[in-house]
Amino acid sequence: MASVSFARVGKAFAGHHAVSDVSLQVGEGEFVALLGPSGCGKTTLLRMIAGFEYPDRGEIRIGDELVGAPGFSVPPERRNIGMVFQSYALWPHMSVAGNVGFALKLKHVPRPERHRRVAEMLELVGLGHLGARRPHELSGGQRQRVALARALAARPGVLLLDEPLANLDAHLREAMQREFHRLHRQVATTFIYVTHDQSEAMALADRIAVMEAGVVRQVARPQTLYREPTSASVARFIGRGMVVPVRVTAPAPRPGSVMVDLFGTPLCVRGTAPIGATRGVVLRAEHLTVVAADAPGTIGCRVTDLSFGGATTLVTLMPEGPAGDTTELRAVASGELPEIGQLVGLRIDDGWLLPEDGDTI
Amino acid sequence: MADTSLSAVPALPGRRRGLQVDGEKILLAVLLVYVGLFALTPLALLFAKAFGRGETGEFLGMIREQWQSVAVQRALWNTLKAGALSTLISLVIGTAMALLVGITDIRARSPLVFVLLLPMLIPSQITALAWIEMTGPQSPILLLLGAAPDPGTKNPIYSMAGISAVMGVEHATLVFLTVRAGLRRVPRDLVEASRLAGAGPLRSTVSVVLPLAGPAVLAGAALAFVSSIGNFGVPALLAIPARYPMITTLIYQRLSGFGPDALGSVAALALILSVLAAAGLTVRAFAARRTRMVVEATSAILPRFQLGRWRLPVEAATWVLLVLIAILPLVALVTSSLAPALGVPLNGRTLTLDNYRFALFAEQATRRAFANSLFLAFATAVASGLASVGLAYLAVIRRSRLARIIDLIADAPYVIPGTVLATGVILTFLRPLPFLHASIYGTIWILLAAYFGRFLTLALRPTMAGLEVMEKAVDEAAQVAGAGPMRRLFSIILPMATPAAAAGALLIFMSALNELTVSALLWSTGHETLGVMVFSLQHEGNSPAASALAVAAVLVTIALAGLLALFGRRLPQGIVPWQA
Repeated sequence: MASVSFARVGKAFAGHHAVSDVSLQVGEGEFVALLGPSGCGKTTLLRMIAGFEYPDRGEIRIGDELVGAPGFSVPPERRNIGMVFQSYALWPHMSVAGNVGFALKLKHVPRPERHRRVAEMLELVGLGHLGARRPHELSGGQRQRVALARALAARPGVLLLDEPLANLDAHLREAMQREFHRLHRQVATTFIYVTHDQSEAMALADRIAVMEAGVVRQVARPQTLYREPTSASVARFIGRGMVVPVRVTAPAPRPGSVMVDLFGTPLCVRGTAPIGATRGVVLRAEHLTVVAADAPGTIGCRVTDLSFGGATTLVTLMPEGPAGDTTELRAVASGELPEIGQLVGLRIDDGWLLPEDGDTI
Repeated sequence: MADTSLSAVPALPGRRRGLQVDGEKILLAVLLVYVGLFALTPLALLFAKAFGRGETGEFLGMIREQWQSVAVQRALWNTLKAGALSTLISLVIGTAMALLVGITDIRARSPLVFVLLLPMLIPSQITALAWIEMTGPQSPILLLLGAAPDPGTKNPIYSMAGISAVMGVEHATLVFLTVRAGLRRVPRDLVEASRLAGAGPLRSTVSVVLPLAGPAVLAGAALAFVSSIGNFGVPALLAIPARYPMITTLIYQRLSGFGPDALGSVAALALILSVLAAAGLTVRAFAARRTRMVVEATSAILPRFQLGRWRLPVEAATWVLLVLIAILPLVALVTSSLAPALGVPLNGRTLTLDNYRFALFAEQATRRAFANSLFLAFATAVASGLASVGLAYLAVIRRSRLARIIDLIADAPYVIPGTVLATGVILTFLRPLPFLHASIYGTIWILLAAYFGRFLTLALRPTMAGLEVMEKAVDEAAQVAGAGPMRRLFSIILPMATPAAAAGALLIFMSALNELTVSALLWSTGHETLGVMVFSLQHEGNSPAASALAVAAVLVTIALAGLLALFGRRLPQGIVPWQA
């Protein structure tokens, strides 16, 4: 296994900055997800690790070796990495075993050893009996497994995965997620995983790098990312957080918390800030509860929409107030539902105050 | 980036010293020599010669002398006249057939298309020969109808109208294919909208379909025009006996009469021909861009209009026309090949295979021609197939800019008239080759050199198309697995590109086997080709033997086409030209 590091890496295509000033450390054996909407630069970052692109600025290292810098690039074939492509990219003219064994053949691994390793890899992904098949004879899920076995066969220091589950059905996706988890524990290789699906990233990764417009917004463990986003954009992207401007009014009784003023109602939120500062507070629908209109300590709101979602219903609300605020809030409700147009109270159980440089609100 | 041609990823020196990268450079160098020697140099030398000083040393003398020559002006005028008339014929037949097949409910569509595409399988000189047999005083078909010209009178096909008719029919296929492709791009909704607006089938066709397919019709016509002014097979068999000089036959006659001494004047003639072709190709490129502009590809094909009670009459008329222009000439060719001698009526007792015996076994020159053509066709097919894979790999997968340029140049020797290329090839290879200290002029190798240049693009197009649609990740996956550029070429790209390259190679084999235009200027005794042999036998007056040889050549070609059709089923669309 190997570590990967980016030091102030930038890359532009035809004047468009696909990646700008990215610094990121991936530890040995770590499972890191690059998460972001399409066009955010995550795939470019991955392809720079592989060596298909090279940076215009900054440096990329695998382990201690410099592999990419402006005008300098170690070719992909000499980087000792594995990659699982979104389309799997299995070689159609080779058998499954041929696909898996190709890298070993190139490394001049003797034939008996190669056969043993191929069998072992296929066993590892649960396809021990399919070595003689051709890729087109396999199902999508099986192809995915072959692509994994192929990428891992030569024991790469780093395994790159480019949206590997994008082409699979929902139920297969879950099964493969568990598979990735198990494989990561078993093979002890560094995994770098590109996805636009946050639940995938949350479920799999040790750490997630959230990207937006070529910039890494935040790198953190999934729980931290959810509970303590450092910027409004991350808060909105992860778990559809709502960001509302507030003014810090007083220290709170609990340590690490402050009192803020939200639509005229005092509220205790996590985070620190000097008294009088104006910041964004991150609210999540699952921490908001719809109660009776006159309940104390709640925010008076009017229900504008109801969206049925099975176990729970998403209630859209507009705070009532002199400010004539246009911020929409969402709350999760179950059981008795309010009606559209009804005046209700909104109880807020948790909130997170964004740090000072937590970008625009 | 200093070295974009080899790799998108430049690296520090020292890092890329290794066998793989060197292999890639060698491959690029080989391809550069290949296209430079067989395509670029002949054309460059031709233009240099044509723009050179004349005998009196006058600036641009060569071209001025030719331009002012009465013989040349007459040939040019004849070429333009026959070209225009034949284009008109192609345009009418090709467009009508494309409309019938494309947007009506006419039956038996597949045999119809097959007959329409026959000219792609049958070389010009054989088509011309077949028409001679069909319209002459000996015509078995006209004799049967009692409509044959009196013996001893001139065959009416030996005329401007005859030349234009044969070329027009032959090139109708090009218009048909272009218009059919254009019709496929017309979105179905537009036609349906016009129907809902109250237009009947005929009105919709005239007001919506034809205007939208207009650029395709224009492109097809331009292609037919370029093909007819560059055609040599038909004029060789019809215009020479008709004493109707055209540019291609004038070039041929000057070169075969005066040899290399005529090269200067011939180069100037070739230049005139190239300018005409370039004009036609410009129109075609312009029209092709317009077709692409009309609409983005749609999934639904055009609705087929019902011919109703007109269906049977239309079908009957179509088949009568097709039998007349495509089937009967071939029947005449076959019957003439079975007749014992010129002028002997053919019946159960006189029918003989002697002509085949003579043409295929007895006559040494034809046996040699068969062997030569098979060798040339095979060598060209294999070399072009391999060069295509290498070039397509560098251009498409490795994104080498130089390879892209080579790819563009490779088209030129095929789109220019064959006589032009042949003239350039003589200019290139007349001089003794370096190292060898001998000229290949007058040997079979000059034919091979010309074929290498002429046909490369036929394998290159399908191979490039195949690699363009291939997913790039397949190559990247091999790269990650540790395979260098050359290793990937052999282990990944070659196996995957083989079907397309092989289909192209087979197409080359078929075309090269019957090649006449280039060969006619380059052959020498002992180094004849099949196309040349058919032409010579006919010139010597042995038309039964010429017919027999032609029939044999057509049978071989059709067998190869069958092979290609089998192959084609497993290929992406658009690689085998006659596949629906």
